[in-house]
Amino acid sequence: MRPVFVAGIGSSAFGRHPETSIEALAIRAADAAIRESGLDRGDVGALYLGNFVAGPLLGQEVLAGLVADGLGLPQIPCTKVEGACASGGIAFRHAYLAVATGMCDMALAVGAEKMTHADTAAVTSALNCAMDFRSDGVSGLTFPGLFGLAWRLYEQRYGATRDDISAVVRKNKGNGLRNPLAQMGAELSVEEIGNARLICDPLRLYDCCPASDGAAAVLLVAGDRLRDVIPQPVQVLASAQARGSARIAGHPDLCTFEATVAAAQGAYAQAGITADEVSCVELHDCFSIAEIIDAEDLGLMPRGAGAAYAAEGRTAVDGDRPINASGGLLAKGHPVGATGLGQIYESVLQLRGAHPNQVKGAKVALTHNLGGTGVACTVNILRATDA
Amino acid sequence: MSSVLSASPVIEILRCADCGQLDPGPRELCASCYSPRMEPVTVDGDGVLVSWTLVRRPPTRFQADGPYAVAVVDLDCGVRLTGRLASVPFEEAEAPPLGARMRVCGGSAGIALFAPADAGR
Repeated sequence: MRPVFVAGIGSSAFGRHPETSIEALAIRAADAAIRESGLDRGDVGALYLGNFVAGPLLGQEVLAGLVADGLGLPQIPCTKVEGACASGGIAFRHAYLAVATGMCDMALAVGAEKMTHADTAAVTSALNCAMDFRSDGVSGLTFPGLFGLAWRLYEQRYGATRDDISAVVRKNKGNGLRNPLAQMGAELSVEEIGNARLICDPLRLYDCCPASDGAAAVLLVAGDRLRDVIPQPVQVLASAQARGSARIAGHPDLCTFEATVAAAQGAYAQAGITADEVSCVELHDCFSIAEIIDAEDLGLMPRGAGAAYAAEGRTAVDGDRPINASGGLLAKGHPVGATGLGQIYESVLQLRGAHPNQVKGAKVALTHNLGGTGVACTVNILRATDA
Repeated sequence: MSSVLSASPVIEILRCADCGQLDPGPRELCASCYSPRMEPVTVDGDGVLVSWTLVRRPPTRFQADGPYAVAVVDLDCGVRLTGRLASVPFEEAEAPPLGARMRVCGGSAGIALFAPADAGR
């Protein structure tokens, strides 16, 4: 495996794009990544596209080929990958592998989704395609429901309160307010969060990420192409993926995702670092309680401490464990197939020192993208290079 | 309702004919020994409530059922099952506490319904 670098990034704002097609969103983000890099698009050797629900919500598949055509790429292999909400992270890892193994010198990872045109029941149904419909899915379980189950057990086991968990929402919504790409930044009081309408008890409105439209793209290159790259390159230190059970009965516990634990261990080993060396984290806060469980699964804090870390400000931009400076899925939004690449986009800005919520002295960034009921997870670690 | 509760509070799951491993099913290969001989078996529908949640906004295919409460129960045979609470607790106080003894009290379309084990006795 040879070193791989991020040469260019592009992203749409996450939110509502009623007049823009999913192809246009993806093509604009990817074109921005290529243009920023200064490299020739004719040299791109592979494209991987992460998308989850374009089939059920738009009736459009083969997006990888459509996007490559729109970009004017050569007749290269173009592949759509799907791993529910981890589709973007998986696309990134495949592009990383294509360059790391020497299959090509330049590879493009693109993530795209369009959801806001559909009503809530249709979106919930489409997302529920990631449920195992031979087991838990039969019961009518939904993704908010899965995290409602986890929350209730977590609060009983560790004594976390509603207000403790609301601290995650306040932080991420506040961070989103200062991120121009974020869909739903807001200054919310603990009362507003705790009194919002119930969605899936005990989850309330602001505990849940919105449905979003959006696209993000990353151009990866081998080290010997760096001399032609315009932006300050960022090195990919690790890209790990693991599977977990698709069924509740298959998880060791409701308050952990074994796929996250395995992917994190793999990524830390690959990068040769520990969690203590990570400067900033973009993780999969599809729900407020998810940020707490994910952070503990990633080894960023002890079990049961996640809510207290948020309440004490330790996960704030200026804390000792900054998490979701972008606003996370809760505030930036969750165009599911694009989310994993949006996390890379945000992390690259951090490592270039150019993020609107800059973590001071950020040198190493970690991204965590979780799919389905923990059936797929990717963890990536990036490092700044000296300018 | 009490007659339903007393009528055969059992549940059908899978048992590996080779090593005896139980599974909530469906499963083609035994999770322990990979044998394809997973056979239906009836077990007591008694267990402990692990957690529950109230789905207030169901997906399209469950729209007619909503709102409903999804429950995870650890059966005494050692198998974890996802089903529903027979009585929907719109207020927290109406819900059985986590750890409560539960018993299956019916079900349809593959969904097991659970109620507190002391209910209806």
